[in-house]
Amino acid sequence: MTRYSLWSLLRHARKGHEHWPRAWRSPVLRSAYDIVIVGGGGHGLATAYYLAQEFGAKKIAVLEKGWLGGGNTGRNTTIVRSGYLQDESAKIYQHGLELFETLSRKLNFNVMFSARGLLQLAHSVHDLQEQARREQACRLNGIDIEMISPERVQHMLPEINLDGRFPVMGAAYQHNAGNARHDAVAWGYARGADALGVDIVQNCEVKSMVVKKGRIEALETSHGTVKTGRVGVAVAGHSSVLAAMAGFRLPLASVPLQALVSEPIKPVLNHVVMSNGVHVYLSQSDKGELVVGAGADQYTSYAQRGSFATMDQILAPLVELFPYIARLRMLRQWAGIVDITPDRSPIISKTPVEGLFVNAGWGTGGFKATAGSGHVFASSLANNRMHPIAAPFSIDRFYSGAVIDEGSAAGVAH
Amino acid sequence: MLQVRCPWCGEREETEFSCHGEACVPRPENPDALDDRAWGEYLFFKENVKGLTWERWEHAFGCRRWFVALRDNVSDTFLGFAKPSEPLPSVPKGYRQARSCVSIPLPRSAKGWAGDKKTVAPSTSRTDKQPDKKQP
Repeated sequence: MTRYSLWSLLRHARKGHEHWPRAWRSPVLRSAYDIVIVGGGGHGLATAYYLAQEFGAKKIAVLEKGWLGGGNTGRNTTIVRSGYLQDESAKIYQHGLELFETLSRKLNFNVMFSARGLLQLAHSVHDLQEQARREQACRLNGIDIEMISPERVQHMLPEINLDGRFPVMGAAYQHNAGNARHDAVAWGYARGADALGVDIVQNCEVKSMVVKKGRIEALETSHGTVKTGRVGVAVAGHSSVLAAMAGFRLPLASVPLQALVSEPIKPVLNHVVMSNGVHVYLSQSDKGELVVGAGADQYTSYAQRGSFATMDQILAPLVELFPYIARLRMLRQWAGIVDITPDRSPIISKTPVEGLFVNAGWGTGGFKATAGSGHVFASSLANNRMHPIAAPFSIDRFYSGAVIDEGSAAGVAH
Repeated sequence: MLQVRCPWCGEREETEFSCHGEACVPRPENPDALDDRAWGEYLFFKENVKGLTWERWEHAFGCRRWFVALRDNVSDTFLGFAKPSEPLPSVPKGYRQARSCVSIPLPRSAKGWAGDKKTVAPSTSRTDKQPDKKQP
């Protein structure tokens, strides 16, 4: 791997940037691996990277049906935050946020993490009380959040209309939350993992699983059979499809979650703005586009489109909050298929099939956890024992009742 | 915007409806006898198929009545609607082959609507699968 640095940049500039080496190889799938990760999105690639880098695993493959980061990794609104109510969630999301802070240096790849601060608007007394409760819970878990007044919101977001149909009565402000470049996160992990000897095979779809006596033995793929005793599945919306191959069900519903971006404009928004009440997520990308995140559709779907009704539903309140947006044109709209659990918390767990682990159910908020999820999942796969941060997110909780209820904590899917 | 055909009111916009998930999940015959595992299975674990799915919809901002819809969730195409008193909508002939639907979703209960024994489930090749006993 060529280290990226000022010197390498200057050296290649002299030669007209024509000889940059490939960031990762395109290896041929071998017939056997110690550990196979299914899914070459952020979570899968991060898992492979930490397995090789920190947990000393050898002979690792990542199988990706399409191209790297082409699923939900490339379809989210790039928000990284950790302000969750429950202790278990706070731990895992904060773990992810902390890894993000040093990720560019660690990967020698600029993931453009920008801790620009995140405001979660409150539109009613109930919102205020709920957010104050979450703020206190977060502070007890060492997450830096404070409640701020409408005046301060106005100062930070000069363009906001505080007195709309849903007036802004305050906000919870997380200083160290922000955005990262989602593609760069996938590419950085891919490059890092590849340099450590991980085989990343794209356009390789898993067709079926060979399970004998309750143990995973091999995967049948479009590139042939791979023998392996340990498999980590990180395929988001398609988790149920993979689980069905192994003969079990998961407590998931796959629904479209959509986002859209405007034409690029000059810097107008310094922070990330979220509103649970009207269900809008807004930030401005480095290119100048306003990135708008919507709510999930009400029905399950594997069509990566999202419904017009949902788009309609978020744009109306968005224009109410930021009237200047009414004059912008939206350039692109898309949806990702997110796998939502009943308690809106992820599943990082062993399964009924020995040697098969799932990392799923991140629902509408998986990007922020890419690093943390990959790290604890890698540890679990390497040691065949769930990492302490991951342990509460077992499938068992849907039998025992020890759910980690973030759904009712936030009032929305998130 | 999707157009949904309510069996009573006809075609209306999607925003008038609410979708209540997989149809024909059998209610426990004897709830008192259920252990935690069986309750968990009943409440939370879904087929979540990719392909053809039978769902319960409610005309929430309309006549407020419930019905079953058959939908291909890869293309979001509705293939049929049925009142509770009617047989479940069946898959049009040749549809699976034409769309190469690999996974064939099945209502878990052949009884159809809320245990109504008169309704008939469409014939399919996959048998009704019981929850795997080896699950954690």
